[in-house]
Formats: sequence, structure tokens, C-alpha cells
Amino acid sequence: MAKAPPPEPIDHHYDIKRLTKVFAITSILVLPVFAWMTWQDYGRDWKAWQKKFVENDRRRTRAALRTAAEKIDPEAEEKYLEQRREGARELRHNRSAVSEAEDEAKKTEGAWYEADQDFRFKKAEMDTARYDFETRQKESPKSAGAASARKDYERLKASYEASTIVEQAARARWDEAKASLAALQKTKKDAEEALAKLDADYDRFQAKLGTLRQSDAFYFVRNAPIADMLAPSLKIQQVQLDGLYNDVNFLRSQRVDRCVTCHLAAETRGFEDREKYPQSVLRTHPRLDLFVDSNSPHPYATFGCTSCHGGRDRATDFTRAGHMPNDYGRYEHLAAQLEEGHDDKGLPTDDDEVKEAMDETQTGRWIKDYEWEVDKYNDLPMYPMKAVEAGCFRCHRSDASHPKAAKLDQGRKLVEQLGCWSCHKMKGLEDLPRVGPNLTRVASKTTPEWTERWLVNPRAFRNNTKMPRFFYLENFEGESGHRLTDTMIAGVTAYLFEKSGKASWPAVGVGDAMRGKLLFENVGCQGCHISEVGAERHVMDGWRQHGPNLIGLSQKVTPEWLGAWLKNPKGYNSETRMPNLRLSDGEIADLVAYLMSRPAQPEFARSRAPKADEKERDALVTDYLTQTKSVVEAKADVARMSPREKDLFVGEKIIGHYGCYSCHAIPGFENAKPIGVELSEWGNKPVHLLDFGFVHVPHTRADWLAQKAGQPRSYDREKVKTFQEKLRMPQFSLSSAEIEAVQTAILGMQKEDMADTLKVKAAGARGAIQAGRRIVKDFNCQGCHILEDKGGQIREAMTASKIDLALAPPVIRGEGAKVQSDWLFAFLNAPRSGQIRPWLKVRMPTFEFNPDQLNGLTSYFAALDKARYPFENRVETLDPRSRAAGAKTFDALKCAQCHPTSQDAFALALRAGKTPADLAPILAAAHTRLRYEWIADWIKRPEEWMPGTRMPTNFPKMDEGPGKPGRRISPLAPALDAPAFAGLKKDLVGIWGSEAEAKAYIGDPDRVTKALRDHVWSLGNEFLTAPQAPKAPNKTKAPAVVAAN
Amino acid sequence: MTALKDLINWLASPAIAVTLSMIGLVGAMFVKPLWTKKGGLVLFATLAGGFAFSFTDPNFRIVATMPDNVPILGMLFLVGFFFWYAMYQAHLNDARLAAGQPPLEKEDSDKKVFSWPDLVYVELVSLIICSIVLVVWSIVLKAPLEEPANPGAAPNPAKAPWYFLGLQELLVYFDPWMAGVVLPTLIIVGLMAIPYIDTNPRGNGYFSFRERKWEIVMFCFGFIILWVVLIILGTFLRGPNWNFFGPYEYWDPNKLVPLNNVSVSEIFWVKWLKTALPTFWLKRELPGILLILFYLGALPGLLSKTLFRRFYEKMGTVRFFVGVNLFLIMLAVPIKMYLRWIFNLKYIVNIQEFSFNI
Repeated sequence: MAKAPPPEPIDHHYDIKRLTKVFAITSILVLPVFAWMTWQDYGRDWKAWQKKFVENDRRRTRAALRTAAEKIDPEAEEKYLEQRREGARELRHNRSAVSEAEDEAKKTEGAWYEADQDFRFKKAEMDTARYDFETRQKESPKSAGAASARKDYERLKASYEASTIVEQAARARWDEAKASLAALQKTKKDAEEALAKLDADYDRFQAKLGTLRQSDAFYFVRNAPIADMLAPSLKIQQVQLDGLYNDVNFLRSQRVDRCVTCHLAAETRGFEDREKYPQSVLRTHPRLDLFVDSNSPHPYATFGCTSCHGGRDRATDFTRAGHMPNDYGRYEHLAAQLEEGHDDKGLPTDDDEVKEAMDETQTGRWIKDYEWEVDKYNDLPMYPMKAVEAGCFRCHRSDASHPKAAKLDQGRKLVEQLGCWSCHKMKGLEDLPRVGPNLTRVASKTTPEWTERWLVNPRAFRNNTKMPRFFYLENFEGESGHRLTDTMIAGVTAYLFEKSGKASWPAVGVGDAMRGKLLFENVGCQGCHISEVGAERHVMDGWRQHGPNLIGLSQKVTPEWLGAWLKNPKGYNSETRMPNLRLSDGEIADLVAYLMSRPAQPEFARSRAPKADEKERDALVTDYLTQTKSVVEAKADVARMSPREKDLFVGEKIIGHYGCYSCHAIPGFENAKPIGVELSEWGNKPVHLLDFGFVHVPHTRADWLAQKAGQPRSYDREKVKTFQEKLRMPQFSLSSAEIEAVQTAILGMQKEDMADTLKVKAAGARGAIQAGRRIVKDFNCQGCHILEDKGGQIREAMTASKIDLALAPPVIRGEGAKVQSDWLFAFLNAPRSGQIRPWLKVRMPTFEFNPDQLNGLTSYFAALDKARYPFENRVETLDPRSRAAGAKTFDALKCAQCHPTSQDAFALALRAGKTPADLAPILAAAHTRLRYEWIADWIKRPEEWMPGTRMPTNFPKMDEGPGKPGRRISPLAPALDAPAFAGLKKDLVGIWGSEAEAKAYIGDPDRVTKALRDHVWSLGNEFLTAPQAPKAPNKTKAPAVVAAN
Repeated sequence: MTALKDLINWLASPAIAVTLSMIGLVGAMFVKPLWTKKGGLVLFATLAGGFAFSFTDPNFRIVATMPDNVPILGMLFLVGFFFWYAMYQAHLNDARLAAGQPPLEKEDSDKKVFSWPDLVYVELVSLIICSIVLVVWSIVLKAPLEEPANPGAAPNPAKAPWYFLGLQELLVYFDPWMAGVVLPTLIIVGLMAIPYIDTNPRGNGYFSFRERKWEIVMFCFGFIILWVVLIILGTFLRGPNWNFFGPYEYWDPNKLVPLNNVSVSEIFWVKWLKTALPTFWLKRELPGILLILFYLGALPGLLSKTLFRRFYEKMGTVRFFVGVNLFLIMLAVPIKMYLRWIFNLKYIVNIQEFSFNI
């Protein structure tokens, strides 16, 4: 029984009318909220950028379209248009035949279509039957099923073959019908084809413009919300990068770069103009020769963007992609000023000015334009553009130098030369030579007093020194801090001199400082050394501070030590890179006299020598002893120790504490491990693991690093720390440019997270070049030589001393192709002066390279020029006629005017009053030194081998218009008939047999240069037999040297 | 101003905050004027005013406006409102019952209405309003995708979802097996057991305070103090390294707080008996074990004879012992907290040999 319904009318609990009103209001409200939601999802920033790019592209295409239209020849166009009209008339005329042919074509096409379909269906059926037959056959070959399957298969195969014939016949009929129709339409079709060819460019741009339209209804529909799932024109662009990964802890995910979703212009040429396209997002990548372009070494499809720039690969939002401004640190600094109302020095600041300065920073502009903020969830944001070359180092970590990444290269140079790697392990730099001098015999070189003052502040002695300052820094301030510092310095000095080996050096003769000065300027010292009071440090862009600044030596060393050092640097320090200049005792005496007379920085001699403080020393000794002993025991030990023992104890501990032995060889620390944190993968270090102390810098890796490099002890500020806890990194006094370079170098040290195939190869020619560059860098070859178009800074010093640059060390270019590898090996092993350019005063020093280094250098030069290495076949037979003609031409061209052909000829030339500016290398030993093919190539085109060479271009290039290589011609050919060359003409006719042959010879630059080469090759060449009777030209096919260009 | 903020920071420290809220809550429940409309307004104004004042502080603002913490702000007001509303209704009914009238709910329950439109229409409107609120909320406060979880770089502070922050707070005082397994299980079991333990038919279907004072005070203590207050504490006052920070204090990750805790065994053997700890664990931990056995085994019996004699007689043996054990375990939570705050007590039983600590 159902319950009785409640009595009518039923009352309502709510006022329904009011409820309806509420319903209406909320329903109306829900509409804009949903619209808002849709817009939030739909309105992405990248769409705006795509629209702007398409707009730019459209403007550019329209301009191209106009140019294309102008290029169309109107006469030709009119001709083809007329032909087309003519064709149309013809067709009208043959109306009935044409329509008949059209009908036939349609009909035969239909027949073919049907036959083709039948053919394909039959084939599918046959394939199925075959498979069925195959499987049955395999399972039970003798069964009835197999037999019937075979029958089915064969039946279907027959029917398939029949259908093939039908299809082919139908197609033949259709082709026939098409051909007869085409014959009728020929005139018109030909005209249309010609028109299409004529307008090809125009049509292409026109078609492109069609795809770039952004205003028609179709465009709006396809890009409308929801409808844009089908075929939108605005869409995310991405590239999958095989072998490049994101590290997502415990697993790697493939990189998928979406950067070009906004940076659409990056890979397209034509958007380079900074004025026209002020926002970089709408510009072409500035270095398409190196990046992005498919022909560049780093094509976009392989490397994408984030593998170099860093940042989040999949992000399509400005902040989330990890864009990092250059000046975030400065912005935050200004923001702090705004908040506090005063600057670092406590001076009040003007709020409006600070605000304006903030708006002018890149950070400020980004905040305004793109709502940029720090993405705290992004562990690896992009490198700021100022450190963008850090990205190069992620892969190019084994390279010795980075010629195409200037700032990175400078940073690496700083890291290597200032010795960062000595305390902080860095993969790839473990085997560099120590940056500091060997201290195992320091007592025989200098005095404890000098050492103590030096330790107080090395820059007081040498303003540009690479030795950093360890003492009197901010975390040892105050009276007691200074007492402790003095105690440490006294201990270190005592230890060094106690443990140092003793040696005495022979006396040096009395020298003449003026002669010494000339020697200093001429012999090549200035390739690695300067001698200037107060010089600034130039490591990044200089080679002349490779060795120390030679000032104040009289305060530091004895003349005897200096003499012994100059005579044989390795005699004092077997590790030194200072080469031996093969100086005579007289030269050494002069040089010592000069160097000892060089001034010193004035304050140094006056500076206070530190004295150990007894109380601090006892406290320090106790502090160290309590690490292994109880306090009572330690105190007893201290009471027992003599002051000297305490000093030595302190010295040993402090050398260990500050890791002095990492840069200097110090007795007793032969096996000590470096004290710094390994930096090999510092670029991945999580920011939260960095101690920012109480210093207000933005919490990013780059900012932490800049602060650390600039003020290494600043993270101790306001902290209460024990002696052992205090920061130890010394003060390198880096300039802001140096800090930026170091930042770039260190941020780039990241995990090498990629497939092996993508890694930079360190073998083959590439490896040889890198290994060679390493040696070149370590031994500062570029201090004297211009090598790989860099260096040769000794020329600056020579210019300053008013020395003719013709006397400068030779420019090294194309050396691998030029000289024989075994000659180079022997030369580098034991250079002798006076063989090639005896007039040079500057000497190639003896570096005492080891065999690995010698092989490394020779293969490096060969690899640079893609020359054969190491062996060559010796050319021992020459075509006698070519050699004879060469000799005559050599005389006629007066080559010997500059090139002495033997040492005797050189002596004669000197007597005749020739100056070095008139002379070129002696050719006597060309055959042992130069490569056979190279000589001819050099004579032919010296200006290409060595721009600016004084060797005249005897075979100029003909101008064959732009883009053409230009053939070389021989100006001697027309000159041969001139009276001045009558002798030569006679000789050549004698050699070649006829005037025509002689002219053919002299008119061919290749033959002339080869003949000259053969002559030069024969100079002083005892391998060659005397000239033989003329015979057919010797066609020894000497493999061509690949020219440098 | 600074002095006031310092005072509030001090008052907000766990020991004081929990004590004050305990006294405040129980005390307030007996202050009738609070549970009127005027009283509600005063409560609301106090709460809102407190927030308005706090929002002037930059450190408070940072924590309170974190997108993760916004729901807790909402919860504060919602819990407050419903608590007041229930008490308001209860006091109205108490007055009616005292005057011999039936409770307010009686009138409603006599009436009948159709589900359409009275129920479904209201549900529809609620649905729309909820949709609007959720959509706007998710647009305005975006939930970011963070980096993939990295065990080498845990966020600091690492916080549970807001509704578990009360349990996470218990981890400060108990080992995980207690705070994360035993106590939550007992909460669920205890809640399920309530109908079987509390058989008092009064207050069924209507609000009343006077008829169920003991039960309501107990429940509110468990829910408001041991759940909601601990969530608020965990959300707003626990910062990096799970250190306590006052509402106006900067969350400095380098803040250091000494954690010098002792166990019962150390107090008993070293401090009282002046001797080394026994090596055998059972002997060493015997004092603590006896304490626990006394608390859970002997105390209910004692209570049935003394303090809770009335309950024992009313409820019968089984119901009483189950109920009183649950009650004692609930009470053990604040007891352990106070022992920590006052005596730095870490464990009552500390058997490291089996990782069994209470």
C-alpha cells in the first residue's frame, strides 16, 4: 500500500521565485567565467609571436613578389599569352574533334579505373590464399587441407594474372586517348607551360602569400577555440632531439625543443635587421654559419636550441622556458636600494632615479613586457646572454681552446693560468703544468724577508701578478686577525726555507745594462715577459704576461741565481716552461745587469715584514694539536716546543690548510690532495646547496659565482666562525670582465648528457689539432708567433722599442703544408739560429719538448692544413728541362735579389749593404725543409698563403666577374718579346726546342712555377744527380697539397 | 607594534598556543553570550580583524598567500562559522527545552516537501556556484608543475597535503609507526565506535549543549584542538627544517633550535639513580614499560572505581573499558606533547634494538 500523499497544496520550503532569481543570476555569471576560462586556455603568448612573425614574413614576401614581377620579361610574356590565345582559337575551330577526344579519354579512364580496382582486389585475395597455403604446408604438408589450399592459391593466382593483362590493356587504351587529345591541345599547353616557367618565382611567392593570410574567414575558423584541434595555422612547433636528454632523476627523457614556436624567424634568413626587427624573438639567429642552419656544424634538427642555450625544452611560456636576463643581480641590488632608501655606502638615494634605473635594466624590461619572474622550479634555466658561450663547453670540454667563443676562451685561459684547476679539480685539466714556481729550492733563490712581504700582498710587489692574495682578507680583520695572519705568514716562510734544498750559483761577469736592454728587446724575452711597474694584468687577451713581470728583481733574487737561471732554467726548476735561449755568458751578464737594474714598485720595500705573535702561535698550535689530542696533552706539547718548532709546525699546517702545494711544488706535500671542491659538473649544482651566507645576491648559480670570484671571503660576512671553518679561497682581484669570463667557463661545466654519437670527437685530425693547441697554449707560442691568426704580441713590444717588424718572429700560417714533418720535428727538438733567416735577432728558444710534445706539434701543424703526416716520398728525380728552365727564369726574375741561395750568398749580400728588410729566407736548404708541392703553389699564389707577405705576386688573378675563382695568368708571356728578356727568350727556346714551345711554357703559370720549384729544390741538394739529357717530362704524380683555402 | 608582534609570536609557540586554545575553546563553550548572533559577529570581527592586522606584516603575507595555504584560510572561517552555528542552535534549543518547548528541529521534521524543486533546484544552484568558484580559483591561483621529484633535493620545508598536516605535526612527538599508523587507525576505529559507546538517546536529531556537555567537549577537543589547530600550526607556523616560526617571523632556513631530548630510561637511571644505563634493553626500559602498562592497564580500572565511577555504572564494563581506553589514548597525545615541552622528553620506551619507541 502506497503511503497517502501529503495534503495539498504542498508548501515550499524555499521561496521558489527567489530561488529562480538566484539561478538566473548564477547562470548568467557562469557564462563569462567559462569564457574567461576558455580564453585562459586559448590565449597563449606564443600565438601572438607567430602572428607577428607571419606578418613580417608577409611583408617580406610581398616585396619579393614585387621584385619577381619586375623581373618577368613583358615581351616574352605577351608572346606566350598570344600563343595561348592562338591555341584556344585552334581548339574552338576543331570543336567536334576535341569533344570527341575528350569523351574517349573519359570513357577509357573509367574502364581503366574499373580494371585497376579488379586487379588490386584479385592481388589481395591471392596474397591471402598464398599465406593460407604456406601455413598449412608448414603444419601438415600431406593433409587434405594443404592440398585444397594449394588449389585455391593456384586458381586465384591465375585469375590475378589474367586481371593484370586486362589492366595493362585498359591503361594502354587510356594513354592512347590522352595522347590524341594532347595532340589537339598542343599549342595551348605549350604556351601554358612556358608561362609557368616564366612566372615561376612570381607564382611561388603568390602561393606563399596565400598561406600567410591572417584575415580571412577561413583563418579565423581554423584557429578558433575548439575548432583549432583540426588544422590550425597557429600551432606549436617542435623538434625531437635524438640522443639529447633531460635528466629527470633516475631516468632520462628525450629532449623535445619547442623554442621555435615563438622563435620562428631563427632559422629563416632575411630577418637579420636589428632596426626592422627590434625584438630578438622575431630575428634570424645571428650565427647561421655556426648554428641552426642545416649546413652549419650545429643544425637545428640535431641540436635544437636548449642543448646550447639551456632552459626548459618543452616550455612555450616566456618565464617557464627559463629565459635569464643579463642583469638580474643588478636589478635586485637596485630593488634593495629602493627598499632601504640608501646605497651600499649608506648615502641616500632618490627613489625615482632608482626606479628608472630598474626599468632600464633588461630584467626590468622583461618584467614589464613579458611578466618575467624567476622560475624557482627550474633547476637549469638558460644561460644569460652574457654567459651564453658556457653552452659551447657542455660538449666542447676536451678542446684546448675555443677560437669561436671568445669569452669562453678567455674564461678558460683565466681558469688555467690563474690556477683555479689546481685547487678545484676540473676534468680535462688535471695534467696541466703547475702554475706557480717550484719552491723546493726557494732558499737558493730569494730571502725569507722578501717571501714574507710577498705573502702579505703579492700585488704590492707586482701589480699584475697571477699569485692571489691569501692574507689580510676580510674574514681575518681586526687586531687579533692581523696578529694571527702575521703568525701564519711567518710560519709558512719558516717552513719553506727550512725544507728548501740549498744550492749555490756561479758568479756572473760584469755586464752592461744597455747591451742587456737591447738583448732583452731583441732576443725574444718580450714574447712572454713585460717589465713595467704598475702594469695591469692581461691574461684574457694577452700573451706577454705568460711569465712574470720582470721588475724589482734586485729585491728578490741574486745576480748569481738569475745568471744560472737564464743559462739553464731547467737546472733550477726541472718543471719550468721557461725555455733556454742559448745565451752566451757575455749575453747573460748583460741581461742580468739590465734585469737587476729594473725598478721596483715603491711601496714594497717600505712595507712591514710580519712578525709571529707568540700568543696567537700557541693558540694556533694548540688548535691543530687538539684535532688528534686532548686539550691537556696539546697544552703540554706546546709548552715543550721551541719557538722554531712552533713556527715550522704552523707553517706546515697553514700550507696544508690553504693548499699552497697545489700550485707550487713544496717539499713534504708531494702526495697531498687539492683542497677545493671539484668543479667538473658545477654547472649542475643545485642552487640550494650553495651557501649564500648573509650576503644579499640573487639565489642563482651565476650570481653566487660572481660574488665568490670577486670577493671570495664575503660569504663569511657577519658569521661567527672558528679558524678552521673560515673560507680559504684567495683574492684574485678579478676585474668585472674577468669575472664574467670565469662565470662563462665555470657555468659551462655540466654533465655530459648525450648519446656518444653526438659527443665531440677527440681523435683523428680534430684530436691532433686540439692536442697541438694545448701545447701551443702551455708554451705560449703565440707570444711570439702569429699562429691561427692570433697572437704575435711581441710585435707590440718591438714596435714600442722601434724595431723593424721585418725582424719579428715569423708568422706561422700553412706551416703543415709548407714544411716537411721530419724537418719540423728536428727543428722543434733543437732549433738552431741562422739557418733560414740569419738576420733575425729574435731566437727560437729551445723548449726541451718531450717526444710526445714534438709529435703532437708536428701532427698539429699537419692537421691544421690537412697535409700528409708524417711521411712523404722524397723527390729525387727532376725533369732536367723544367729544372733548367726554372734556373733561367729564377735569374730573369731576379729572385736571388732577396733570397740568398746559400750561406755564402747571404754573407755577400750583407757586405753589399742589404738590410733585413731586403732579404727573404735563404733557399739553400729548401729541399730538406719545404714540401715539394708546396714550393710551386707558394710561388704561384703567395698572397693567398700569407696575406701581406713581401713575396711579390708574380701570377696575378684575372678578374672573371663576381663568384668566379679567377684564373691565374703569367705576365711574362707578353713580356718575353721585350728586349730586356731577349736573353731569357733565347735560353728558353734552347731548352724547349722552339719559340712556340718556349711561349707555351712561359704563358702557363703552372709550368713556370713548377720549373722555379725544381730549381729551388736542386739548390744545395746532394741527392740530385747532375742534370741529365732531356727526356719526356717526368710525370711523377706528386699528390696535390690541399690548399689552405 | 614590534612588541605586540613579538608577543603574538611568543603566544603562537606550540606549547602556549595549544594550551591557550584548549582553555579558550572549552571555556568559551560555557560562555552563553558568545553563541548569539551578536556574539557570532564579535567572534567573526575578532578573527577577521586579526587577519587584517596580520596582513600588514610582510612575513605573514608571504606565508598566508601561498596558493597552497589559501584553503586553510578558508577552512579557518568555515570551521569557525559552523562551530558557532551549531552552538548557537544548541543554546536556542537549550532555552526552549528549559522552557518545556520541543527543539526547533521538531517543527521542521513534521513538514514534508517535494524533492523538486525544493531539493534538486537548490542542488543545481549550488553546483553552478561551486563551478564558478572552482574555475575562478584555478585561474587566479595557478598550480605550477614543478621539477620531477628529486630525492637529493627535497623541498624545505617538506609538507604533507594540508589535511594531513595535523598528523605530520604528531611526528614531532611520536615515531612514524605511532603517528602515522596506530593513531590514525584509532581515530577511525574510535569514530566508528562512538555510536556503540555513547548510547545516550538525548540530542538525537537536534542541537543541544546542556544535554551532552561531556560528549561535545570531548569531540571538540579531539577535532578542533588535535586536528584543526594542529593543521593551522603545521601550515602557518612550521617553516624550513620543520622549525617553529611565529606568524610574523621570517622563514629563515638557517634558523637553529637545539633539540636536546632525553628518554625516561635516562632520567630514571642516570639522573635519579646516578648510574650507567643497563645494557640489557628490558631492564633499561622497564620503568617506561611499567608506566605504559599502568596507563593503559591499571588506570582504567582505577578510574572506574574513582573519578569515572558514574560512567562505569551507567555504561557497563565492556563499553566503559573500550571507551575509557580510547579516551586515554586520545589524551596520551597532548600528554606526550606536554612532556616534550616541559621535560624535553623524547621517548617513554626507547628500545632502539628493535626500533620500537613510544
